[in-house]
Parts: sequence; structure tokens; C-alpha cells
Amino acid sequence: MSKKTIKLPISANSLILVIVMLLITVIFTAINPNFLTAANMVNILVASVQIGLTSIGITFLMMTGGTDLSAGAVASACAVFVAWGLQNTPLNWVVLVLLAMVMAAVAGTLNGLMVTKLNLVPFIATLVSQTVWKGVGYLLCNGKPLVLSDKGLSLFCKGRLFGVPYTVYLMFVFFIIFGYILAKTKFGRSIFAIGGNAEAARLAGINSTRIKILCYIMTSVFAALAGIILAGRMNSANPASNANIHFDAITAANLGGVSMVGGVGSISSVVLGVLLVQAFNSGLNMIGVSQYWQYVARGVLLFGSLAIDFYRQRARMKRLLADSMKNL
Amino acid sequence: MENKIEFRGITKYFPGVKALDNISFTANGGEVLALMGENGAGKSTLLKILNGDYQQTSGEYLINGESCHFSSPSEAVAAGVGVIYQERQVMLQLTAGENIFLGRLPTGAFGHIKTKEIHEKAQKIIDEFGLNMKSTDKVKDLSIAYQQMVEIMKAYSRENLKMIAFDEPTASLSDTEIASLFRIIRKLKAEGKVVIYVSHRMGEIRQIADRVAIFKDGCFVGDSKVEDITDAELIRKMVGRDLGDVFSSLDRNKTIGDVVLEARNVQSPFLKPTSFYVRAGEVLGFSGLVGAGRTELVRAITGVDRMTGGEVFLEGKPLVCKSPHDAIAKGVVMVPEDRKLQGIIPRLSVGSNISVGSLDKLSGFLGHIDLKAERKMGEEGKRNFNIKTPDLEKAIVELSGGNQQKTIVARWMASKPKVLILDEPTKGIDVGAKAEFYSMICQFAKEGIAVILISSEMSEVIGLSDRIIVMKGRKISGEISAMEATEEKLLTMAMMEEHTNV
Repeated sequence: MSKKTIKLPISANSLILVIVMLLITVIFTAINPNFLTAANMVNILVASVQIGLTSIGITFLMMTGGTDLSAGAVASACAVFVAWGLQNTPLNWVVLVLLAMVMAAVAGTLNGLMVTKLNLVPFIATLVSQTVWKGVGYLLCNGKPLVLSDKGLSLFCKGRLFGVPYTVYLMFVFFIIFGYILAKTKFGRSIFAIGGNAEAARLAGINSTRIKILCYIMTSVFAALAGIILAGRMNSANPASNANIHFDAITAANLGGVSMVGGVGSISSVVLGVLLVQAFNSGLNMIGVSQYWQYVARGVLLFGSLAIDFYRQRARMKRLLADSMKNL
Repeated sequence: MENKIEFRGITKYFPGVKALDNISFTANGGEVLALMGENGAGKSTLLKILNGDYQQTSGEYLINGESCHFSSPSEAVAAGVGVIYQERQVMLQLTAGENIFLGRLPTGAFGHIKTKEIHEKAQKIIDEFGLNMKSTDKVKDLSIAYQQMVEIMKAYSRENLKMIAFDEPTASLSDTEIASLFRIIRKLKAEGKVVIYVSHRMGEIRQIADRVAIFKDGCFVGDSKVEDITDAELIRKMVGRDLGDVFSSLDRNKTIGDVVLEARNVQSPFLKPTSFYVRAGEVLGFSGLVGAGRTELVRAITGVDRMTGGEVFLEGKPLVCKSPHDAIAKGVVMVPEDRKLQGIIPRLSVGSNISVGSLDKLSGFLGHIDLKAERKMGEEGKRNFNIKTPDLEKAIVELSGGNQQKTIVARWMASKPKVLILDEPTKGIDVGAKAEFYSMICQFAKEGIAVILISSEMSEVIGLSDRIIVMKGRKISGEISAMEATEEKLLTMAMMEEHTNV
């Protein structure tokens, strides 16, 4: 091997994300100069908390080869539950948020059990629970958005330190903690192993059932937290407001190099994916693209990400084969 | 017209493996050509290239003088190439007739299927084959042998059938069923089709084949008329090296200790009641044909499959394994037979592939992994087992097959086991690495580990084991000491009905 490879401080995939981000910044700013302002950057960060928190759980889950279509519905149901509780019970907002987390954990456990014990395809299992939790959300509020006015909760969701909301700091703290867990702990390593080769992981003594269920729980709980924060920010819990949260989170994770079949990924790249997705969504809003066209655009973005993923895998296989032919 | 298939310089690479190396030979119509070779010699890979499952890296094959390239099995079938695999490829819920004409069912003007026509045509073929079944029988109600016949008829029903290949077709057939299969094969041969027959069973080859082509480590070694070659010569060509030397130079001085693992009437959905024991420092070989129940036995013991009866004792204490995790925690570990599907975690690094079996030991409070200890474990594995990799960070899938296997062995040796189970440890790895494995296995026994060695290479079992258990039909059919064992004896025990050792 005479050719030296230059070791970059960030992965090739992250580099592409940064370049794409710069590119869309230039385009959006050219159309609407307000895009590149400090205030808007903070706005993007604030709005990214929903996708960001959800993406942490989804990343862990996708790494095991799973997926979750119910996260949005669970998030909404939990947010509505907190608003309902504040109106109808004497309970403190902290207690209600914790109860909502428990509710989310139950949702995650049920998803996990359906996938591991009943052997349902994650897609179908979570499609089932999506409908159920959507129904629960509407039942709790009779189909009408609930006003959410609690001083403590508002402060938690909207309070700022140095001009940046607490929730943004919270998101980054979670990124760091869970980035560490994924990269450096037994739990994280087991996730890599299950996603890489579930049968080999089982034969290596890894309890994949337990770990998969934990990942479903994580996904639901993070989504619920995201949903509650959104409701707190809007002063209103709407059963329909989080419907697409898992879609954006899956896009962010996939852009961040988390393959849909599992086994590869890191939180640090997913952070870039989250920022990219939110910048994309906010930018489309700012340049006046209609809500309906935005749906189309999001679909195209995920499709593009999946296509890149596919070609990346294929290029890798070709490289491996070429290596073998050289060395054997 | 006489059919003919010519292979010219077929080479096939997989990541980390050169599966076929410049294969050239010709198979003629009107004769049965047996492909022989050890497991991993490349016979199945060649068949998969022929039926479009795999594409060769280089080289070509000509059918009746015409260069062909099939990019999918359906193209191969359409061109008159039929491959009958051990695993049935029939639709169980459909009738025999529907299966025979699947993919080209005759349809009417509005796309409805002409059921009557199918069964008339199919029944004709069934009668021609002289089988006692109806075209309207559902395939799920047929015996395994008849299901296989349906597959053969499916291939046969194509007017343009030029070649039919059988990959170990008799593995699950009884003697009478084998006889009727052979009758069909002779019929195909008489009609001038090219018949390729892959089997490990020497007796069958002598009965049915006219010529034998020998494969070794992905190379075509040579061919011969069946009557011109003795079993011994054939085996020597298949093995292709004087393994006597490899084995006699091994350091086998050691002391055999107490019984470490004992199985009493162990049973699983895939295994009849089976009992055996293995001592510390002993290499216990398991011989038998593929599907004899050897893998199923160790899977039941290590908690991979559910045990439905019997008991296992480890150092005299009952060992109950609900999952592989339990077995590993107690020191009973297994290097599984399918490296790619059950062994490696492809995208993880070599280092992580070693440590993944010892995560409990490497992780502390709150589950964080001691990266220093992990690194040390990896370095030791790399050094002790001579794993050829530039560094531990390299993804395991980028190594050669032999080095991948060494990594899996390193994974389990790092967990400091009491019982090491090796299921076909040298399958599909090159000769040099094989020799390394042999001395490793002896070394493990020397260190006092009880080693269970499952291998379809009889020379390997004989050369390494202290004692050999032969399995047949999902139970033990006999036991023999390594001193007395010969390949013929093992083969006899593996194939004969009801053999008792004296």
C-alpha cells in the first residue's frame, strides 16, 4: 500500500451533510435574506428540539433494525394527556409529565412485545399502535385542542438562558449522554451487534429481546418528551400536531448514516441530520412553499437519503470484492 | 441431439473468499457426472452460477456450444437448466400439477387458469415417471421424496430441458425412495440430458454416476470414469494433500482429566434422546453425514434450541441453559457452523467481534465498557491466533474467511471457556489456515479445555480426536476410539442402519 489515505477529522458522510447544509443555506438566503440571521438560527434550533429528541430514540431503534411509525401518535397522546391532567386533576405539571413518560413507556413496551414475542414486522406492529394512540389522544380531548397554561411547564418549555431555550440545552445534553451510551457501553455495543447480525448476536450471548424492547421504550419516551415540549411552547396540546415527528426523525437518522437495516450509525452524525432536516423544513416555510408541497418535499428528501444509503452499501460491497480479488 | 455443458475458466470471488478458481470441464449429455469434493470445495457455488443465483467473476459456460449468461434463476430455467436443491422449492399449498407448471400456467382469454389442461398434462408426466400420485394432490400432503419428484417433473416438463443438477438429493430419502430417484435419473440420462449429481455418499456415486469430477478448495482437480478410480484414490484427490503429515506432526501430549460435560438423554424438536460425555483435555469428535443431528445436539446443549427432555451436567452440577447467554456465562461456548450467518457481525471491527462474547466481563457499573481491557483482549486474540489484519479497527468482513474464523475462535477463547464446541471449524477456509487450526485445537486440549469437534471432514475428526462419536438419523449410532477409527469405519457407521459398537 503506497497510497496514503488522508484521515479526515469527520466522516465522509458528515462532510457531505455539512456541504448540503451550506448549500441549502445559500439557496434559502438568496430567496429570503432573513434565513441567515441569528434570530432565525435560534428559531431553527428551537424547532429542531422535536426532531432532535425523537431522533435519539429512533436512532437506537433503527440501529437494531427496527422502526416505529407510532412515535408521533404517542407523542400527541402524551401531550394531550398532560394538558388534560392540568385541567382536570390537581396534579403538579412535573407529576403529570412523569406519568406521561410512564404512559409512553407502556406504549413502547407494547410495541416491543409485538415485535419480539409475536414476531410482527416492526412496520405493521407500530402501524397498529399508531392508530390506537391516535384514538387515545382524540378521546382525551374530545377532538379539540386543549389549552395548556401552566406557569411551571411554560417556563420549562420557553425559558431561555443566554437567549437560547433550556430545551435546546436539554437536547444537546441528551445527545452527549446517549452518544456515549451508544458508543461506549454494553447496551450500545449490543445494539450494534443485533443490527449487524441478530443471529450471531444471540449466539454471542446477547439478549436481543430485552434490548429491542428497551429501544422501543426509548423511542416512545423521547417522542413523548418532544410532544410535551411542543405543546408547552404552543400553549396548546393538539392531538394532530406531532403526526409526522417520526418521519422527520427517521429522515434525520438516515441522513446521519443510520442504515434502515441496522448495524451502523453514530449520534454525532445524526445531530447533523437533525439540523439539516429542520433547516430544510424551516427554509421551505420561509420562502413561502405551501404546506402541501412541503409534504412532497419531505418525501423527496427521505427518498434521496435512502438512495444515497443504497449506493453507499453497493459501493462498499464492490470495494470489498475488489479487495478480496487483489489479496487472495 | 446430444446436450453438452462446457465450463471455461470459471472464477468466483466473494468478499474474503475465492470460492472458485479457474474451473474448466465439460459435462456431456447421456451420462451422469458426479461432482465430488469436501464441504466448501465449490460444488454448490458452481451450481448456483449455473442456475443464475450467482454471477461468475470471470470465465464463461457454454450450453450446446452457445455462451450463456443467466442473471437470475428464472432465466436459467427458461433456458432449460434445472437445479434440484436439498431444500424443496415447491409451493406447499398448491397442487402437484400447479407446481409442475408454475410460472407458465396455461391461461384463457381473461387470464383464468386452465386447471383441467394442467392436470391432464401433469398427470401424463407423473404416469411417465411411474409415480403413485395424482396431479391434483396438494404438495403439502406428499412425502418429502414425492415433493422432490414434483420438482424434478417441474424441470422435466420444459420441452427444452438440457441439463438437470441434483445437490445432495438423497439426504432425507429412504432406500426405496432413493431407488425410485435413481430410476428417474437413468431415464433422464437415456433421453440424453446432462445430469450433474452432487453427493458425499460414495456408494451412491458408484451406483448412479458414470464419471466423477473432483473439486478441492475451489479448484477442479480432475475427472475420471467411476470404474477407473478407487475410493482411496478419490479421497486422496479430494483432500489433495497428505494430511497424515499434518496430523502426525501435531503435539498431542496431554493429560485427560475428569468428565466436564455430560449429556443424558438430551432431546429437542430436532434431536432424538442422546447421551455422551467429554473429559477435560479431551477432543471428542463428532462424525456423521450432514443432517445427522450433530449440530442439533450442541445447539440443544448450549440453549440455542429449546431442550425438550434430558439433562446436562457441567462438572457434576446440572446445567440449564435457556439461552446461549446462560451457556456462555457457565463456560460452554460454541463456534457455530455457519460463519457468515451465525458467527461474524460483519460491520463491527475485529476487536469488537472478539470482545462481543465477553461484554459482561468487560463492562462495569452502569454498563460502560472498559476500553483498555477490551483493547488488550483484542491484541491478545490477534497475537495468539495469528489473525492477519493491519489493525483491530478493521471491519471483520474485510478479512479472509480463515481470519474471520480465527477471530470467532479468539472471541470464545477470550471468555476462558471450560467446554469449547467447534462446529465445522475449517469449512471453507484455505489449507494453510486449516493446519493452524489443527495445532490450535491440540493446544486448547492441552490447556485442559474439553473440546467437542464436529466435522464432516473425516480425516480431520480422525486426526484430531481422542474419541469419536458417529451420529445418524438424529441420534448416536456408535462410538469408536481414534486409534481404531478409519474413514471407512466412520462412513459405515454414519450410513448403516442400526450399528452398535463392540
